[in-house]
Amino acid sequence: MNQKESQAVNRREFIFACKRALPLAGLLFFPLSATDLILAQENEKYNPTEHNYAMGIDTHKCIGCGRCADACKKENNVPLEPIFFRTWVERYIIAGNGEVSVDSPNGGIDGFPEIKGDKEALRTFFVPKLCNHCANPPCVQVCPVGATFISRDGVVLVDEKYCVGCRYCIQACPYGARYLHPEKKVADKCTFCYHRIVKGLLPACVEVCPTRTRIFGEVGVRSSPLSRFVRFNDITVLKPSLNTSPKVYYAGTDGEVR
Amino acid sequence: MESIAANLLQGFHEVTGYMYPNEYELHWGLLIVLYPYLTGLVAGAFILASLERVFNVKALKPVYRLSLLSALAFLFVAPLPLLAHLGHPERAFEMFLTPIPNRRWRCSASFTPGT
Amino acid sequence: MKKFRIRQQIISLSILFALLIASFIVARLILIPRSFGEYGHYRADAIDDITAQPINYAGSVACIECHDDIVELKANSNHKGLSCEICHGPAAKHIEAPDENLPSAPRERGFCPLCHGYDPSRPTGFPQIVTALHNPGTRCMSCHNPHNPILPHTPEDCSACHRGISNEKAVSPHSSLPCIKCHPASQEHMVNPRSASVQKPTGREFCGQCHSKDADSSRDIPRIDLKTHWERYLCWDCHYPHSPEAL
Repeated sequence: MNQKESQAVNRREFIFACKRALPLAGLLFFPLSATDLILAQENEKYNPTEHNYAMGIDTHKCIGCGRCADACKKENNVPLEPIFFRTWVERYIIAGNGEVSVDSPNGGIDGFPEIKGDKEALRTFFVPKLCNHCANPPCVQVCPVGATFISRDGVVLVDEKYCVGCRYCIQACPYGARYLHPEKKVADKCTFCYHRIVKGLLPACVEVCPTRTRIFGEVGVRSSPLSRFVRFNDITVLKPSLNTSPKVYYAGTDGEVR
Repeated sequence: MESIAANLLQGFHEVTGYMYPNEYELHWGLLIVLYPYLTGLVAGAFILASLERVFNVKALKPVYRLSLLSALAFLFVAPLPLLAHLGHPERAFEMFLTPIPNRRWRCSASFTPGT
Repeated sequence: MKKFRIRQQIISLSILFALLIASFIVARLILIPRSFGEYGHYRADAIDDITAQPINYAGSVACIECHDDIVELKANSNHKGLSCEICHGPAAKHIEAPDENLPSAPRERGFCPLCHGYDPSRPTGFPQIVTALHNPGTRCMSCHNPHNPILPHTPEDCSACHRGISNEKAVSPHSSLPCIKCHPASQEHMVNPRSASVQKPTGREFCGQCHSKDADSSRDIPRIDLKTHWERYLCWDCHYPHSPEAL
């Protein structure tokens, strides 16, 4: 009798334990990883023709911490030498007598050195720079083989497997956004983290910016944060006279920024 | 006179010595410079040879064969620094297969083999 | 009638050209990648190659799943807008294998000043410290919790966040004036700056309290006749109050 009772208790305990364990058992059939979670966000296939990506930069907010340049290097495996940058931060110091001095030590990744004699600086500020993903890009115009191109969603990209490494595009870019990758020997540049944005994520530099200096979004889409940015700010672009139609819009950027 | 000097000095003040970080590396250097030098040699040698053969300048007779041969030799050598400068010289043929559909490129692409 | 004969050279040359053109066309067919030209003058497969790049930064929402207590603490703090990966580095590998790929946690004194070290180029009002003078040798975390960085005590003066202005004022004739003489700031502003903004003077009469000819202030202070001295302008259109040297 006792054995039967104890068996019944054991059975009951077992069934209760099963009920508790059921949701966990469900996980065995559907192992989830972070990338699965991220990919699950895209329910239908990504259609590039529906998007036209651009970026806004609010110079007033930039504190020059350099986390954007650091995150970009880590996300995209950019070589660590201080002559290869996909994005970097410059500091402009405009003195009272009109002298302008600019520096960008290691792109701003390690911070900026002290300004000597700062009481003479009339204005001083930081400007983050990156590839402007121009709508009329001079780098795409000059590629002899068609290795760099503007994708259907407005991002200028480089085809690593087709690039010859002639460096014409690096010379052609008026913003200094391109470099020759020292190991792959092909031209390389900011891609707006294309591998992230097609999955609905933000570019790494926008992700880590602590002051919301960088706004990523789409041109002409009312619901994009970029739309509010260009509505409420006076927008300038870098080197407009070169007719490259850059798609990185700067707000509050001084006229001395070149 | 003083105003000219003052204007020049102001120009010097505006030179700050800043280069974009990506532009520190010089890309088109010695190897690219060699190419127009060699093609200049080719053109010059060819002119010399044609002066004798076509325009009958007798004074050049002892030398026209050497200049013609050296023009041919340098012609084969001239594209080599360009190839060496490429990051991927093995893909250089792509330039002829998929040239950029741009009028300026078509003109220069036909001009270069012509020289 | 003379029979029309094509010259030998033309025949050989045209055969040669035909061969060259034919071989060029064949080469194009063989060597150009299949996907070239599909969407434009580029290899369409390149898009797939680029999107296949591995992701290293997981994004700010990815940490909530396991670290929700810290995320909640941070969400109501001064660091609420910051992504976890700013300080802890790329975390996508950590999410895939949490115990093998631990993200870094910067504890050295050099890290926090990347944002909070004093630099006059930073917008005024951003909390900054002069690293060399601020508790040298101590780790930042010993007084400030990075996930909820409340200041250990309210700053005594405005230079904690407005050091650039304070430095300039300190070497000017206005150095003996406290900031609150012209900018009355409540204690609330020292604790929670954005919740209680600080006013600026609005009219000429304010500066006239000390600088007008008939003002009741020290004789050393330069005086002007408030009614006639550039009467259509505000004082600070010409005189920067934090460094009011004579023009």
